[in-house]
Amino acid sequence: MELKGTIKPTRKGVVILVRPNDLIKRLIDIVGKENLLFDIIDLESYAFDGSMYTGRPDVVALPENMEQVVQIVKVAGQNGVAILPRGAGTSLSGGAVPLFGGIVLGFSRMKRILEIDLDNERVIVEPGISNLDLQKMLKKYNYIFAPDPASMKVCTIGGNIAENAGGMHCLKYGNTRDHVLGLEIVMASGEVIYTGDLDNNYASPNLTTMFCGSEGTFGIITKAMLRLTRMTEKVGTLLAVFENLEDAGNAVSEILSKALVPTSLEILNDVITRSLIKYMNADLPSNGVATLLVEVEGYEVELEDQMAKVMASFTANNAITSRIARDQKERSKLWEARQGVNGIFGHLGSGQLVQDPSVPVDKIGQMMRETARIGEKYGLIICQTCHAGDGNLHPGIMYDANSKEQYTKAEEASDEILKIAISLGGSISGEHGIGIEKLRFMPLQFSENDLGFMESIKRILDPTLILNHGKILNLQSNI
Amino acid sequence: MDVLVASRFSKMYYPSSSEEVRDIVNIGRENDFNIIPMGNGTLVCDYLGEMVKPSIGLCLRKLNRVMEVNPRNLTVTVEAGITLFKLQSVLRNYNLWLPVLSTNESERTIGGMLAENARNYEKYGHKNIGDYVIGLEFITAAGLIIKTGGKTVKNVAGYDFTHLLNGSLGTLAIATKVTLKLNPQPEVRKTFLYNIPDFVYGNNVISTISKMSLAAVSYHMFQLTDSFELNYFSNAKAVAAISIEGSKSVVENHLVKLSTVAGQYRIGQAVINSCEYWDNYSTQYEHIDMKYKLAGSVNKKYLPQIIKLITELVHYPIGVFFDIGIGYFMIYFSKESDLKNAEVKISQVSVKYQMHISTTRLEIHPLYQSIKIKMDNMNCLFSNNTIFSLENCLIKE
Amino acid sequence: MIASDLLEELNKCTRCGFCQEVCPTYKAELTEGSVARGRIRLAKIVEEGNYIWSRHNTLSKYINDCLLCGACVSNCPGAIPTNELMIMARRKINQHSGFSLFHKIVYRGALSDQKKLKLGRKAMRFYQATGIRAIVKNTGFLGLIPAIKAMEERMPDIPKKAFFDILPDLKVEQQSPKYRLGYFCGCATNSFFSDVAVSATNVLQKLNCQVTFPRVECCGEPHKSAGDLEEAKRLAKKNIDLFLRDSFDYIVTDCATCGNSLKKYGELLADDEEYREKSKLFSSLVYDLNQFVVQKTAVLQKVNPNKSKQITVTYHSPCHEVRGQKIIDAPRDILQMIPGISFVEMEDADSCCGGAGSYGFSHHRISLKILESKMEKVKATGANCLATSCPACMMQLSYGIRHSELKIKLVHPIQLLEMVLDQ
Repeated sequence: MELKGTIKPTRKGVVILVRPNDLIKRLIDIVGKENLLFDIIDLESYAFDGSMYTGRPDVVALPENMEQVVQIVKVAGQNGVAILPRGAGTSLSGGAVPLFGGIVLGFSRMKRILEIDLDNERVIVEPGISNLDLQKMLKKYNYIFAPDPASMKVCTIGGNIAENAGGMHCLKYGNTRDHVLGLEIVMASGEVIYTGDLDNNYASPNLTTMFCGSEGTFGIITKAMLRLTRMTEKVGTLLAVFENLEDAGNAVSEILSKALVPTSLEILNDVITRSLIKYMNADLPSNGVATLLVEVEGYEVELEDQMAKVMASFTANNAITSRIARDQKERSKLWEARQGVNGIFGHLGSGQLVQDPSVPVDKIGQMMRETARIGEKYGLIICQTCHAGDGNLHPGIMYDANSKEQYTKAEEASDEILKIAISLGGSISGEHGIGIEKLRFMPLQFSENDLGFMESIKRILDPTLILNHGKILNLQSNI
Repeated sequence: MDVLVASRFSKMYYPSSSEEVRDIVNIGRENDFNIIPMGNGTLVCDYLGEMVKPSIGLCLRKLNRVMEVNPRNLTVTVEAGITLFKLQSVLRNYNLWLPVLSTNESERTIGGMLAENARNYEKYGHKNIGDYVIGLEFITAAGLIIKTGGKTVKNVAGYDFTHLLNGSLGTLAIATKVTLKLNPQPEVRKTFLYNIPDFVYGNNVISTISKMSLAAVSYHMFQLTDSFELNYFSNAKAVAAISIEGSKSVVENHLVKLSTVAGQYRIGQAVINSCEYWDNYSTQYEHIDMKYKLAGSVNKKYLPQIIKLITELVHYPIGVFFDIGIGYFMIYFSKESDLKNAEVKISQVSVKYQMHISTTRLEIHPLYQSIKIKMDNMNCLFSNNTIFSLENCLIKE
Repeated sequence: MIASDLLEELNKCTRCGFCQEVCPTYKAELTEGSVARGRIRLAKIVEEGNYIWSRHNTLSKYINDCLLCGACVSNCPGAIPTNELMIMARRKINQHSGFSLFHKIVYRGALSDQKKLKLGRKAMRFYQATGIRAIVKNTGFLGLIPAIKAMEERMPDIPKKAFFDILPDLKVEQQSPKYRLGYFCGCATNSFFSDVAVSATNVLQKLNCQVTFPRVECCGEPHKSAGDLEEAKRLAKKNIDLFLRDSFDYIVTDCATCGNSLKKYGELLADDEEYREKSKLFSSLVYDLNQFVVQKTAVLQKVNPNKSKQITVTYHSPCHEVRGQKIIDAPRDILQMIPGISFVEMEDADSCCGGAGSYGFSHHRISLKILESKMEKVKATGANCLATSCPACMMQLSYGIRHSELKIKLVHPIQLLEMVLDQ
């Protein structure tokens, strides 16, 4: 799809005027000029997300309601134009990057809370609201929205659902899909369907969950009904530093075996620990190899006891130092450091490849050891964080972005890491999604039949393959 | 397995592996049979419509092994034909449990419960069995063995079809293996009972309690009639029951809170272990003549109104049961005329109070239709299912 | 930071997007180009050679839309200094296409030349004080050009006299002063908020300080923010010479922007052989007025407990104060010294008001959106008094008060303090 423009010389240089073509004119009719971006600079500003991938759309529409989305999707369908929904654009796997031009549907202007229903402990929201904004609103009523991904300050609910986002607390509370009660979805045909508790009229099996984690390829979410979780009475955050990963892993096992379900168990390796201290002024001891961050929640009567059990596990496994964060300020500080991990990478190397395999919990120790070995093999620094309670790891492979050779090595290291995860009974992605990044690994984890089944459902829901084409599956189309 | 059930099919099969299931499906499809999957067949007849083409029954009761228990990962992988009872007894050895309670646990299979979206007694606190599935293997009408999800709690690789069969009543595919996320066994599970004079009063008590910070997993009420004998109180009209669970210190503390409420409302109280309580409930439930049953759910905002309505309506019920936590109710009548009468009265307000009623025929979801037509183009999987039949039931154009 | 480092700095951004949470222009516009991450990417693709500075209106727009408030920097896990990167980018745009008309008239015109500024002030005062303003407003002529109309509405009430005209009547020679202070009275305070400088003078003199008022040039911050580093440096040098002629104990200013600018003269002239040491020395002497009063004087002893002010006050933290100079407590400490006062902290007190110097005039629409959000938060406190320590913020907030029709008084903390000190 070509953008037609004329070149107009001016005194200062050359200015490229874009004369809106038919498609753009129709879109302007739908959303209004102030909600449509087609200047090449604007397109460049939407040509990226949190990953290393880039790709320019042909036009960006910022709809204000579902009806506009429906009309835009119909226009896209009629013209065989690719279309891609975008939340905050913080995907780490390239999910929000358009590979085939087309229309990017930005949901930043659809972010209202439509209904807070405390009787039924649920809320209805538009997809563009940020996770944190929702949490702030719910706090007043003593509720939370349980999924709390590291990027919750900015990532949107629509994005959370499309990626089935996890979060620090998903060990106890589950992923986003466990908290989605119903959806309003605009299908590729322009038809609007309702699922779950938003659908009051139909006999159906569970149709909601399959849209969770579908990365914008099954349909475009325009409304979500979410489950609310009561705010817990008390939270205790504990930290311990160990001299080796083995001890940290054993401490984790012990904690879990005491029938405690902590809300979070985070392991940070030595590279991360040092960087957090250096760039984030994190108050972490610098002499350890593995930092373990544990959070327990519960009723006031039981929390001291729970925390004592955790501290005992720390001590029993040779923790160099251990402490309890008692007040909100201390607790926030520890968590801020953890949530900022993605951002510090920039200081460790101009390029970083962050993966997110997950393995069964009993295989974490082995996985981290193997990953460290791979780092040594390729001569690359690998930062490792791990959600120890649920087996999701984040090996961050650092490399020099100016060196093609280093990048190739990083990719090879990344490949090996994912293969090991699969061999240990795990998955190539615990929370970042397949996007563009892990397309080539899908055949390693799924059989031909499995992939064939996924394709068949995709083709039922989106026969002309216009929705976020090029993500999750490698499918041939005319786009 | 009921002889009566088996007699309704041309042939019954009892495969003992996923591959055998697949082979039977292939035979069925190639011969244009109607294939009806079932666990132990306890509920299959409830959904059997008119037999249009020859039907074969696919009973998965022999597919009942525990494939893997991973205590540290808090997961278990089983074959779909295992009964809930057997699964729970295996898990007990590891101090784990699947927090799902249902009627007839010794007969009901995991696959069957998923297909029916069986209601969890403690649904309020523990959701439904379908919410615990993180990995699934199923056989499609085309005879393919498909895997979705996996063994890890966090898994977003590819699409998530682990819940697609929940509530599909065996019409989309046949589940053969299921990986479930588990909880550790709670230290203590207790049910606190209140002797309430009527449901309206009981609901007020429960409203007070639900505002408290409580480790409650279920709030319900039921009426005591001749056939429904749970002898916790003498001369009781109805009972409100709150099930709580957690660590010893928490449960003790919360039982005291609940006791205070009994004093506030001047009603009798009793405490019983939850497993005993639910066992009793389950046994009683099974003895009720369920022929004339009206069940439904209501938007919790309108519970007080519905409770009042049902209290006024229902003069000669065998039993009435409310799950206040989820807005669900069940009424058992002794006569059909009573049932019809109640149905009419409740239907009048069903839109206003945002209700689902079990006896109302629902149209089939258009998305389900699209998927069913493509996945099972020969319509060989349970084609005469009373809820999802594309031939017999309502289809929205 | 030197220009050639620009691409290296831009490459440190990991695109995490955390800036979206705090960026006022993003909250107003909700487009990717209106937030740090997007601006950084755009600058990056230009520096990588794919585009040319100044050739794309949209590119310049996004680069110039940045308030330089620094909120993104505080929220960025990698502490990427986006505000400084934007200044570098503006410099590049200027190099390609020359200064904008606004820059030529307002910055290099009025602000670079105190005589021209004085003339401009007199003209505006004349316009307001005589009937001309009423006539113009009535004709509806302003409505023809929305930008002019906005500018007209934003103009604060010009005081009768500039501070330097009042000064001769104020100044007092102290017997044995505790400190000898050089007071930096910036352009905005002098021209538009002379009251504040008057209060500051009275307070400092009551606190036994000998205060001198050199005839300063503009601190150079507006020029610097527009990427005009040459002019910023020229003005800095003049100011440095002016103050180092005398031997002051400290240099004090009531304006957060000036204070930030003066404290950074050392960085600005770090590469200048002649002024390297002088600028470092100069910067080390600079104190924000609130900061000085709280940290260096025994002001509490001078507060008369009988002089009570029964008001509810809330405070807006100027960007150049909270993030530029890292001052949070000093102004609040002063406010809480006032007997009888009730202090309420507003939500997002440190979020930019949208004034950003002359930004309100050059970017009226976005500035107003940001201001409306700020005024909502002011209103939510229920306060009847709003305090802040920057005349640019005061200009913006006074416009906000008029625009949202709030019954609320706007002051600098020093003005409240003056009212409760002993004679």
